[in-house]
Amino acid sequence: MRRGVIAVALICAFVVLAAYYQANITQHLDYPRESEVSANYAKYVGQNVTISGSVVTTGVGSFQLNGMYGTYTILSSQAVQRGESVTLIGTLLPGNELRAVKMFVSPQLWGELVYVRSFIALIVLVVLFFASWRFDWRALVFRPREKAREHNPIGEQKVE
Amino acid sequence: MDWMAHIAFAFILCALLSLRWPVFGGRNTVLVMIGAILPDIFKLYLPLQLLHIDAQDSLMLFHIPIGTLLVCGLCALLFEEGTRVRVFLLFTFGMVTHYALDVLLIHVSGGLMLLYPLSWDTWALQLVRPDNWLGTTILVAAAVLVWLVLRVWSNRRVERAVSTNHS
Repeated sequence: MRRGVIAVALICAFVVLAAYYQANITQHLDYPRESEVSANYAKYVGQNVTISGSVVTTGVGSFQLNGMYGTYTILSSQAVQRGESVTLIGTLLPGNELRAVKMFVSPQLWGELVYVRSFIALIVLVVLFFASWRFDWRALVFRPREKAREHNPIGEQKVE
Repeated sequence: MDWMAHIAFAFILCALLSLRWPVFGGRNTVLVMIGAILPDIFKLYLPLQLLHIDAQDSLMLFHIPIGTLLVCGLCALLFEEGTRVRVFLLFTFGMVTHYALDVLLIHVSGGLMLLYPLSWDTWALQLVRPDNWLGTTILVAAAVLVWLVLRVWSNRRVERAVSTNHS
């Protein structure tokens, strides 16, 4: 019962803070993002905005970036390759165009490897966790496994 | 930064701290490692993006210390009574290791909003690329090395104790 009350209180606190964040974040951004730009494009023309996406086509002095809400032509002398992830700050021009001011380019393979490494880490973590802990379905709590010491990553267990 | 780097970093810290404070060792290490990836629950926005759902702002609180603390509290409630405070503190320590690594990352704009809701300021040291593989490799290699050294050291200690008892 007490556990339920605490859980509800924590969830309520989380929802309130998340709602407050979502309602106010646009006023505290360094630069408007694609979601703000797409909602009112004309308002942000001439201002610096930040857009993220993947490169779909490249040309001389420009490339096309596929964001979440549309495709943008980026005017930049920096060389990029198709498939690369780009996050940039740029001056918004009419007609879905931006003149890049600052860019961060991530090669496609590097970006994909982050997910591969994270997935492997998740598997390792799940295995390590269930080697040491078991879920008690009656009490609905995790309890230490009796012989967890044999499977422990460090091997010493003095605290119960 | 990827989860492999986060759990390797948490493991190294726990392995070293457990030499002095055993509470960081054994099965508690994995709780710190879980705490170290809890803030990244917010990355659920990535698969949602594939479905054209922009949930980044809705989920961002997971990646803000106050939000992660609440999640640590909720997760600690899943453990048996009497251990929950310790579990919460271990998750929290893992969370701190997460932000300690993430604050090193390069951000084109913004950074970590560490003091929300007290402040909307963001922090980033702009030192490491988020897709950096070298840092992860170094951390994983260091974690393996620490594990091996502690294993050998622990075995020798046991052997010495056994031989002392025999003599």
